[in-house]
Amino acid sequence: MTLSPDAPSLPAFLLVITYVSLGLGFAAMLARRGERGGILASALIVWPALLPMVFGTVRAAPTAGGPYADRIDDAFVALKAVCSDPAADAIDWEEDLTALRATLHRADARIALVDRLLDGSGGSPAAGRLSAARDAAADQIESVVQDVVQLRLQIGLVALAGEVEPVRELLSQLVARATALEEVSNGAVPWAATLREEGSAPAAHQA
Amino acid sequence: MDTLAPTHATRKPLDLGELRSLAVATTGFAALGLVAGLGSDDPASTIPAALLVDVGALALTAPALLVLHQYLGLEASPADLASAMGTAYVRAGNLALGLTPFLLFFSATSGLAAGLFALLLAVVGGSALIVAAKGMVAAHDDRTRLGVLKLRGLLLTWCGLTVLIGLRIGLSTLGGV
Amino acid sequence: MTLLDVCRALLRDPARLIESAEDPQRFAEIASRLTAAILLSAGILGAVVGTYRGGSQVIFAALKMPLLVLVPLIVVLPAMGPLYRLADVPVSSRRLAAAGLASAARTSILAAAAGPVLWLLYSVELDYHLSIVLLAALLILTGLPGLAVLRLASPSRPLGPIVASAALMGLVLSQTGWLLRPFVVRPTAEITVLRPVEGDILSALGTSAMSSVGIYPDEFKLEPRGALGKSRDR
Repeated sequence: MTLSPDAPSLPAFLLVITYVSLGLGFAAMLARRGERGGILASALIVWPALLPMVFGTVRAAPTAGGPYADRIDDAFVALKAVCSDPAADAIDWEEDLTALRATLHRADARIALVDRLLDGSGGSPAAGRLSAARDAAADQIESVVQDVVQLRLQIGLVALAGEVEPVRELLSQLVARATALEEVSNGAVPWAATLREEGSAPAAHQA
Repeated sequence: MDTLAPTHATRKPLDLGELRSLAVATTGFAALGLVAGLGSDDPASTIPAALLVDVGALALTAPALLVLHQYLGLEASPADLASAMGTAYVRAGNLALGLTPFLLFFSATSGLAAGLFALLLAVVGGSALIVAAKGMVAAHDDRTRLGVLKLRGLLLTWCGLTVLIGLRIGLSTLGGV
Repeated sequence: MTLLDVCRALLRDPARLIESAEDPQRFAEIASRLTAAILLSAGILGAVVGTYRGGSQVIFAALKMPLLVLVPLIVVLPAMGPLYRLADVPVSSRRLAAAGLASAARTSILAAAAGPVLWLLYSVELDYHLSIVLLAALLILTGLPGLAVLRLASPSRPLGPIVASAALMGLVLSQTGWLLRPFVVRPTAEITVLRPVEGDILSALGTSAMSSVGIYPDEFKLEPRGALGKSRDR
């Protein structure tokens, strides 16, 4: 049995070493972000396919976020950093937080749609009703986001006193409020249809 | 159309994001050229090849396009045309950068690099032309028969000229002709 | 999600798996499971292929087969995003990466599932050339469902970028196979882990095609090619 009729050349060796070194560096970066186990092993082998974990991604659509998109993201990024701590392992937070964040973004996107409809729509009665519904939904988003920020502090209770139940309860309440928020902001949509029928709003979907 | 009316509002200077996009695109063209020369006696000589062939052809024919566009009385502003060409440059440059690992693989492991490089130059250059043409069509709202005919004729002529000039530059740069 | 969950989702409903990988928190988990699936399944296929010769070729082929699947993905993935953007189709890089990994994993799993059939055929001491053709046919057959997953990279599934990506992957896959040869080794031949970097897949196919119609080049010699081959030759 022979390894190869010739030993590997220097450029081949350098190419392999470069690939492996970049993989090690990428895995180290992921390890600092709290990733573990299989993900780090995968990073060593297929790090080019895992680059979207770290670097900016191409947006799937032109910015569809609303006025609260950045605040929502900031609150959840900060919360995730805390929840990734081993001291917060007692809480099964992942699925609920993912769902909560998605719900808030959907509600925020609907607010953005309504803002576009109201822009230049004049003072018609339908515009007034739409504006009131929009403000109610915006207040709810603001309130939920503030409670998400408070949730970070509550996790301290888990770390110090092992009190998991209050945090679980708060998380469940937030999820329930977000679900209700979907219904409130969905309520604004019929008003938007009325506004379009009255002809006092530009097309909802602008380029 | 009032020929003495000012053109569209002056484009604002390039912002940092746009400069970054242009820099990345330029890096893409240079990288594609660099990897094509791997294994040859003078690898550095191929670095500017992609820039010369693809970007050079566009740059040489752009002034003619702009002049003829105004002469034909077509409605879009020169700034809109420049913007379409800028978008084409960025997208083609990104494609060149994305294809660099592909060409590197063949350059390192086979004798197919030269042929593939020529093929990729054609693909990248062709895609730049298509993106630019689509952008220019989008910048025109004139849907009259004469307006559409003039625009199509201009774009076809420009594309054909760019391809011929690109071939000529390619032959002299890569073929030593 | 466990590895089995991911494999099940990959075979039954790959679209849903790729959609869920768009979430930043799920992407890492799904990507690592898909990578594990590729390594395991392609390794099994490689081991089966190695049984044609037996001995240490079983191990070497098991180690090389995952590379055959992963190298085309790693080389072509950077070009896929720009191809979609050229077609004016916005696509997220997470989704692209997930679709690429899912495509490779699905091919590997299906090919490994066909492993027993291949082993059975190899066990009756098939002709060497026929064995290679069988392996190629298996990879093409299982590659098609894999390619079908690649089109899930974008919800709109545009044809142009998918065809271009598939063409690039096909080229890289064939050249990778040539580079990593031999996978199938004659039962009486000495085992070699890798051959020198010489020739390329297109010239090899051309020569084989000519030989098959009775045209034999006066002098057929594999020359060192590419930067790696020539540096070895100096």
